[in-house]
Amino acid sequence: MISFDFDYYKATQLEEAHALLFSLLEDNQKPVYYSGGTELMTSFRKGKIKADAVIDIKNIDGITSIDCIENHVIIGACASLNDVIETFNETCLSDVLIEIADHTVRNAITMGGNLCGRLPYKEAVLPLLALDASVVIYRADGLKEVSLRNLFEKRLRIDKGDILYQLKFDKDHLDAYASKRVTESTEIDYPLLHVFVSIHDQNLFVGLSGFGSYPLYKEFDLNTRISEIEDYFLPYVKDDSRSSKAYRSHLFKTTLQTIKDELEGFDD
Amino acid sequence: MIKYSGHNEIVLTINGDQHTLLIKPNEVLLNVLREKVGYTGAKGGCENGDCGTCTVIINEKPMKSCMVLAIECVGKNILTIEGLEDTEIQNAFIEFNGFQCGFCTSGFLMNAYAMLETDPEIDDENKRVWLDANLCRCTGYEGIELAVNDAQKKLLDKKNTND
Repeated sequence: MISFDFDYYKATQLEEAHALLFSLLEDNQKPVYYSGGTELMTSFRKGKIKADAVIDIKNIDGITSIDCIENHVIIGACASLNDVIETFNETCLSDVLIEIADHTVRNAITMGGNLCGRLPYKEAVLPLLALDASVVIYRADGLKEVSLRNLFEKRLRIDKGDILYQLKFDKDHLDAYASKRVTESTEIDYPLLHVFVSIHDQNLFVGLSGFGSYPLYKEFDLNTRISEIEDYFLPYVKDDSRSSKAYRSHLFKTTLQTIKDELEGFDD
Repeated sequence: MIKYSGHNEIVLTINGDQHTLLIKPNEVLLNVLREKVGYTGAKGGCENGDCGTCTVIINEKPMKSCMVLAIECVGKNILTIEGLEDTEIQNAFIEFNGFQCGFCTSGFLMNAYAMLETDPEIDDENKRVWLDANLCRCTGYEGIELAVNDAQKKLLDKKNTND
C-alpha cells in the first residue's frame, strides 16, 4: 500500500505530458514522470519519494517501440529491458541488460528508467556509452538529439521536466567487447563492480558501474598500459557497507586483468 | 489525456472476466486483487519486487503485482493463479510436490506458466533465468524443477501429437 494519495495521468503525447508537469509545478504540486514504476513504487512505499501527481508516459506514441533499419537502431525510452534483450539477443546491450534485476522485473524496468532513476548503478549506460549512442530528449522547444557522452556526467544531465524519448546507435559499432559483473553473494543483486570493456577502431572503452558513486567511463588509446587504466579509475573507488575500498580495488584489478586475457585485441 | 483522482470506478479484466471496482490511483494491483476482487492466490511477500510470490501475468508477461498500480492495468488482460485451473503446470506441481509451505507456489506457477507459453522448448539455462525471479524460503526447488520439467514434457508431447 502506498500511504499517500496522488492523481494519476495517462499521457499519450509528449507535448501534453511536458506541459502538464510544468502546469502542476506552477500549482506548487509535486509531479513525477512514471514509466516502469519499479523504482518509484519502492520509493513511494518506503516514503523516500512523495508525489501529488503521477504522469504515466509509457503510452506516448513511439516511446516503447524498437526499430532497426539496416544497422541503425532506435529504442524508445520506455521499452522494457526484456524487450530490448529479446530484440538484440547476444549483443553487448543484451549481455549487460540481462544482468540487471531478475527476468520478471525486467518486464517492468525500462531503458529510460534505468538511465534516469535515482539508483547509482545505471548499468544500461555502459554499452550505450561504448556504442557512442545519442539520446532524443523532448524539451519545451521540441525534440533534440544529443550525444549521450556529452550529456552523461555522473547522471543523465537533462533539465527538470524534459523527457527522455529515444536512444539511437549503430548496431555494429564495436569490434569486440567484454562485460564482467561481480555481486556480493547472489547473482541477482546490485553490482559491487561491473566492468564493460570494448574496442572500436584503435580505441579502448572502459566503463564501470558499482565501483564509484556513479558510473565511470573513459576511452583510452588501445596501446594504453593496464596500469595506467587502473591509475585512472582507482581514485574513484567507494567504500560502503557492502565492500571496502581495498576489496573493490582488488576486484577491479583482477577483473580488468581477466578481461585483458580474454578480449582479443586488448594487449598490454 | 485521462486523469484519475480520488475514487474512480474502473474495469479490470481478470482471468477473462470484467470486474468493476472502486479504487484510488495509489492502490497497488496486489492489494486490489486480494482485498477487492477476492483473488488471494497472489501473496504479499517482500512487497519490494524481490521474492516473486505476487507474480501475475499481465498481457502475457509475468509481472510482480506488488510493483504495479492497479490503475495502470485498465485495458490490460490480467491472469492470476485462480485462472490456471487444470493446467499442465498446476497438475505437475501437485504430482511432484512442487511446494512445501506453499506460500511461493502461486508465484512460481504463474512464472512457469508464462515461460512455457512463451517458449515451450526453452532450455535449462533459460529456465533458470526465468525462474530465478522467484524465491522459495523452504528451498523446495527440487520439486519445483521436477514439476516444471514434467509440465514442459507433457506440453511438448501434446504439441507433437497435434502436429
